Amino acid sequence: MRTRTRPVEATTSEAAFTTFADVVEPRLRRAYVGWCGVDAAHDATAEALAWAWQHWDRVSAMKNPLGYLYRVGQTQTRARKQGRMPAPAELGLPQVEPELIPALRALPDQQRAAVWLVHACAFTYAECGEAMGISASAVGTHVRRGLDALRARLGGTTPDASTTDPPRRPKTGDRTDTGGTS
Amino acid sequence: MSPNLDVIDQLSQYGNRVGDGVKPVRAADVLRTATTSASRNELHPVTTQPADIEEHEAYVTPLPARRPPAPWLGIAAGVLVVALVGGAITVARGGDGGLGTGSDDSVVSTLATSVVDDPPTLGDCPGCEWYGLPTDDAIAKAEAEGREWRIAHEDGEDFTLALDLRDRRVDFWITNGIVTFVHIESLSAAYDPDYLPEGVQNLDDTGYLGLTLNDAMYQSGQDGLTTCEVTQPNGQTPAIHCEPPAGDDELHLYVDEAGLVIAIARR
Repeated sequence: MRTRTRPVEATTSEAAFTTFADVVEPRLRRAYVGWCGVDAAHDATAEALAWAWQHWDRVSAMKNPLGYLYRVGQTQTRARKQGRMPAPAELGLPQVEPELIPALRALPDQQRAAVWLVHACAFTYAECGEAMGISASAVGTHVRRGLDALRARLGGTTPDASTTDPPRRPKTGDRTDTGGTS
Repeated sequence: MSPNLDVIDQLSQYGNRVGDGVKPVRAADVLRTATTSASRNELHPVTTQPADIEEHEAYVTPLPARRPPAPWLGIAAGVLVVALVGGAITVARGGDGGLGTGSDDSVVSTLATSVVDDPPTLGDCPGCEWYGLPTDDAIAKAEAEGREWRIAHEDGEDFTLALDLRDRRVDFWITNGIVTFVHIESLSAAYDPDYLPEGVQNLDDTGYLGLTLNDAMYQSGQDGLTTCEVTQPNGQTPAIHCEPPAGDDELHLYVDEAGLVIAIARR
């Protein structure tokens, strides 16, 4: 059967986008700090959200818009990688090891991104995989290796695997479609 | 390291706090910018003023004034045109004089070449066979071929499409009832992180998923397995050295564009 999706009304779109942005914006902003530092994170977030509004029809239909927009902001922003990240003391976090940030920045790119997005920004593996353009299983490997390297450098112990993994969303078989099948 | 906090907890605390130091982006600003101006640059206003061109005037060398053409130039041009036309007429009549110094054969072959040239044809573009079909015919064709289909655009109206790729699905652009553009979707590891080649059973128990190819090969050697074949996202299987030399239990690794292992088959 041939079906088509009607375009969303403008006012409805604006309201939906505002709700969406309220939820996604803080997470994107935080995620970009790990990529380009605090000085460029605002620009990257603004680029990503501007793109999201310009392509709202597409974004609103995405299963995983957060990870996708993270990549959009990266490509739309000519940011300097590894921008400034404040020391934990600057943020009033005395319990956080001062060496954590230098150790994080010393990780290989993929491991650093995976560890940052999953454990500092609470991305799911699926969101992180979309953001990095890799599979969820690859994210798990990078996270595991990155955490191992951080603990080796900072002298921590390795907890159970169950505590290192974030909650993973169950796979669903439903696929919304606007077209027909044979 | 702090005695009570694991790395994960420290990362979580740091991540929760670090975003506070970045100026938030308000949805209202995004909407206002998109509504009032097509340029997204308003989100990042330019603070430096454009340079005043008068400041650079002293550095610009003016072009010399153009002189009018000399009267004799027109006469010479007229003579040249007459000579060329006369020569061409002589050649066409098969004469030996004038500008035609070549043989009759050369003239014939030149004319023949211009006539025999193949007219331009449509190339083998992807989806060429769909272009120009009426909408109903295109849909019928898709369904006859067992393809899923969607209409992405019709007479200036974009339809909301899910970004889930389906292998062989056709997305149509329709104008006045005619297909004017198509996009044929195809799955590959480059686009779908969960894509697995047909017939491949993923052996997640090896623990090699997500490793680089070199690491996976090295690890398989450590585990007493043999890796002899690799398939890239484009389907190519470049020759590689077995690691270690071929044994009974061989692995076939599939890597994505980043060179990371996404699937493993045991041969």
